[in-house]
Amino acid sequence: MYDYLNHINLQLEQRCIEPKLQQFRYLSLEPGLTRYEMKAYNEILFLIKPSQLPVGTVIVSECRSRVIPTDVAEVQGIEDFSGLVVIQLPGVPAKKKTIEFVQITL
Amino acid sequence: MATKIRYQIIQIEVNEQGQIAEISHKLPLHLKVCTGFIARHTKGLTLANDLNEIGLLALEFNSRKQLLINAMVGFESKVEQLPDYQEVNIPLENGQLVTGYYMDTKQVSVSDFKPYVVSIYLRCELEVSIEAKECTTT
Repeated sequence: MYDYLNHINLQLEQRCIEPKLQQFRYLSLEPGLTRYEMKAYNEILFLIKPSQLPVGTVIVSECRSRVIPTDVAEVQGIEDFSGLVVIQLPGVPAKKKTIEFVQITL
Repeated sequence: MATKIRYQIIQIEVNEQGQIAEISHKLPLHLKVCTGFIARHTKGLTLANDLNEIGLLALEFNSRKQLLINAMVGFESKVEQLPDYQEVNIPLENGQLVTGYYMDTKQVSVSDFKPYVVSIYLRCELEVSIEAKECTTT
């Protein structure tokens, strides 16, 4: 499996970022809700398992935006978001689900 | 030393409603500082009225080391005067990437959507030596 923690550390090194803290951060998707906002000011959130999100989910942040593609299960890369992160699901989730991020505090 | 201005143009084609177009543009080695930018619709849309927002733009400089521009891109139905450059002062590392995204936010139905082009103009400076070279004649 792709070593995403190594990738994150390399990214931080290449971008000359010295994190104050690196930890996991979770977002719970609740049945009935389709829009979520996460405040990640002075933080970087790496979405480490994008396949947890339904296809067609739109993630918008101040540095990067992404639509979860149909072939997300085959995608190994991970992407980072920061600032105000808005997650818009394409439909109402049937059951509760937890989305995992690696949070880098600057 | 003197400074010379060079402009870099990044064009983004928007072909779908809500499209997120990624930007990855390598700047030439000799550019030392970015001093201004304009982001505007340049082709495709023909609307009767101005729109304050047709999309969102985010730009990072020096290969993702600095996030420095978050801006809304609007639409002007009649362009009477080109807009002024928005002032920035971004030291550039040699030949690094300008990255980011443009996201279409124009709320129209899929059938009404028309492709368009947004252009980003970066005003950059380079330093040049003004030492005159000696002319040799034979």
